[in-house]
Amino acid sequence: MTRLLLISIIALIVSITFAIFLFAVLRRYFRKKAFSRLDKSRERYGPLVDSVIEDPATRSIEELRAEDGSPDWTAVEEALLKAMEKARAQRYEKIYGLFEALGYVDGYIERLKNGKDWERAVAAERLGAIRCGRAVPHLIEALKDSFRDVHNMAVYALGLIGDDSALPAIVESFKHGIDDFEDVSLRIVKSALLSFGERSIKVLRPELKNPRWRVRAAVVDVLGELKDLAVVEDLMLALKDPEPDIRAKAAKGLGTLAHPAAVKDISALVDDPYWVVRLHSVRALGLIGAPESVDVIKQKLLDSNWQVRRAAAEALGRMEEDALPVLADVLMNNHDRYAREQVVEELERIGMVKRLIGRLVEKRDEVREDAEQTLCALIINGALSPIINAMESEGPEIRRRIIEVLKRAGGERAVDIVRDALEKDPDPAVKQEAATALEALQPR
Amino acid sequence: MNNIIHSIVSGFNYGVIVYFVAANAVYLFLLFVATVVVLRHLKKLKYGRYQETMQPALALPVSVLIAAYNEEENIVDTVKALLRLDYPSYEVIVINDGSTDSTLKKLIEDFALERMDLVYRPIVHTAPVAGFYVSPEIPNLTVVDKAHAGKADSLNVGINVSRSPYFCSVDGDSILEEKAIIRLMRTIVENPEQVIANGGIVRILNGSIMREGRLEELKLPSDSLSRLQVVEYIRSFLFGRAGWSAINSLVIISGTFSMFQKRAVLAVGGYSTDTVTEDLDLIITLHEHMMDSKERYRILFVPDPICWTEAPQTLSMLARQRRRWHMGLAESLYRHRRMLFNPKYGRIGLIALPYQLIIELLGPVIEIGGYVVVTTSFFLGAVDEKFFMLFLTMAILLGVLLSTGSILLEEMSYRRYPRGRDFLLLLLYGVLENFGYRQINSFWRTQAVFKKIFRKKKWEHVKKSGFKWDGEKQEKGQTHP
Repeated sequence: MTRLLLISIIALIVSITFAIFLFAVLRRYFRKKAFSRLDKSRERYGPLVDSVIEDPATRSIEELRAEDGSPDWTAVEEALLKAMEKARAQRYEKIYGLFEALGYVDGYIERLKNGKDWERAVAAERLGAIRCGRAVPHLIEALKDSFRDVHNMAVYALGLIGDDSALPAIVESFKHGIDDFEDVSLRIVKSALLSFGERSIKVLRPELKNPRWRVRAAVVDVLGELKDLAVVEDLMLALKDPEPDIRAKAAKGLGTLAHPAAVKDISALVDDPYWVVRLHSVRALGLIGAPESVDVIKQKLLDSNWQVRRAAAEALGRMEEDALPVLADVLMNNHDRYAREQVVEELERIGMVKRLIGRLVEKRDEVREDAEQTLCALIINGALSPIINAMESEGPEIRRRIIEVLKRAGGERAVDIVRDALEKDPDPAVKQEAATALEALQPR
Repeated sequence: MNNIIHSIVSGFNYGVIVYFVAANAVYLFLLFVATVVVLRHLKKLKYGRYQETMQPALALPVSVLIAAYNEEENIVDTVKALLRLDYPSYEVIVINDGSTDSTLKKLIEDFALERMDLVYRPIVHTAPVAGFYVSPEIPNLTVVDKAHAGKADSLNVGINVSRSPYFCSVDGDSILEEKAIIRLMRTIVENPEQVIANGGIVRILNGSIMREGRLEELKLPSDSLSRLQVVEYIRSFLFGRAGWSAINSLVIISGTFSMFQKRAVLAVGGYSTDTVTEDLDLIITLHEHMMDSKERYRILFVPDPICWTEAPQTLSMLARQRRRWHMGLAESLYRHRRMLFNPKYGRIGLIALPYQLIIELLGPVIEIGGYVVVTTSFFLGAVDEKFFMLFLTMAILLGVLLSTGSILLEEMSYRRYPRGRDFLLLLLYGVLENFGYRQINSFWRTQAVFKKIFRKKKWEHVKKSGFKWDGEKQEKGQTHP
């Protein structure tokens, strides 16, 4: 290698490094100036935009007119978008009128049609943000765009605008997304359909008969998320679909709607051969909370799948007092350890153990006795953490009663808690109770 | 005999030059690709607001997992920051990995936690779980106490406890920005069928002001070691990972902040507990599994600055950290050696892993060898001045170019250090890191290679000093200037 070549390489690297330095410093300098100009424009146009919206009679719209692409143009656009975000429905029109009058809408549509990839996507997003009704045909056209982000933004914008004429195109996009998720995000399309609310039902309903089960499943999913009682019958029909995924989604949707008419049909699915169907059916029954389904859910505490067992415990826990006797019965009489553990977890999660501890000083004998009995079963099944917490935080009478329950329950950990009370409890009556309990608990 | 030694030394010297040419060519290529990727991503952010207004019912639930071992300094702030995340559906699971300090006590006291008897189902086998703590006031927070068995085991416990289809691992000494999950989930929401893991940029928090678990003011650290690490992180994340992600060959996602599809991770049996860098190993394992099962998938890097972490502030701690990382790299490459140069594994087997082996793992050994042998050869007259200058150009001067290039990319993209003084300091440290810092790093990494070869595997715990709080001003109720 010649010396000249080496020097040239070194000089080149040093020059590039120096150029980077210089470029970075100069860029920062010019960017700072540009941002400073933009900040000034923001300061000027922010209040001006507000006053034009508030009081168009005294303020001329011409004051907001600026050259496309200038800092003033950007500042006005930002202020209008911010106003649009905060505005209530009756002011939308007024603000939208300003977007139109100042040429922003034409600019966005032009960019959506002829801009570069990113410009088209930004334009689509902006047209949605300002709820531009006249852009709908252009946005529908943009659903065919080869650039994925434009497609996504166009769907999103159409959802925001909420013009019914776009619904068939969105449904087509939805079906297309099921086949080719690389072209469009199915979640964005679903989000757009949900934006239409009940109006999307009539275009989605025919797709429930679509021969492709994936389409039917996706439609059932959206219908369930709509949370509209008008879809109850559709979802109940879908409960009988041969595809397990559709049955599961239909049960889930009916659970979200919490419609009591569905209890019977959903109850029929708790023994479905597919665990996901059983899981969603049990969850749905819990969400509906019909007392007649308590026994059906109880059986699922013994399901072969632990997720179904957990869902059953959660469903019963959700029903709280209605399900308490059933849960207590599982604790006391069920031979399945997993079912009992699941019930303990759920009763602790929903704060029922704490409530039961509070009932130990209840005046009504039957309430107190039920609480004692259930707590005893809980302790036997390992629910000692809330007992330990209560021994540290509750009053002396409750502590004394807890020791009584511990005496009944027995077990090594119960002995430890009682011994701890004997050594550390500040109340003489509690100590006395602990001493008596310990004597009864100690092996002779 | 002399001739043989001369030939070996001469061969090694030329080998070192070839290595540097190859490594720098790859780095320059990655810098170019990363520039394109980052600038494209920034354009995308212009219409990114849609994510925030999507129907909350469609947000995919996420479990945020924090493995905490002796994190009493930071854990409360980290959890507070996590509880403020702007995401419609998430739970926070803190796994106390048998800490010997007051980590668990602080959590119980600060969040009014109560012990609860939850059912633990070890879908992935883990060390025993000692207890669960929840708060009636904060239903989306669960703390799990377990026997000490390492970070990987703790994360596996978190996976077992998690109720969401996605989980995100966060270090106990890190702070997430409020929009962190939304930004990271964006790529998943757009393509949930294929994206099985992704990670964001991790930045250094040292020197910045925190308030109530929030980043109040971002400042460059005052000490040189932390500043050098700031430059290093910018270089590593901005051009390293963005570049590899663009060619779908990312094998490293920082365990400090990464998102995973739970189903995919369960399919590979969770995190490996017998490696010191479980994050790297998991990513390679996921690649292997997905390619073996011939499934289409993506593992992505999201170039958003979203997670802030504390960097070691002493040389000894930094040395431990770097040795640990490097030993982990060696272990993972060894474990997955059947993928290396194997055409069955496409770009991962033929490009990404060989790069990790030759440039990342063995590179520091060649580099340190080069500094010793080429310099000695020059002073002994075995190589001429031109050769030595070429070596320095390749070893140091191109490094300066790459460092300043990365800082320019940071300036063009995120510009997280708005103060002019900080920016100039960054540029200065971009130059300085190539005169000593990079070499000492390579030395530690070389040590790790030798330790690995001689089977001295020992976990080197890195002690950190906690976030800097604007305590006095906080008490006085003032805001920071």
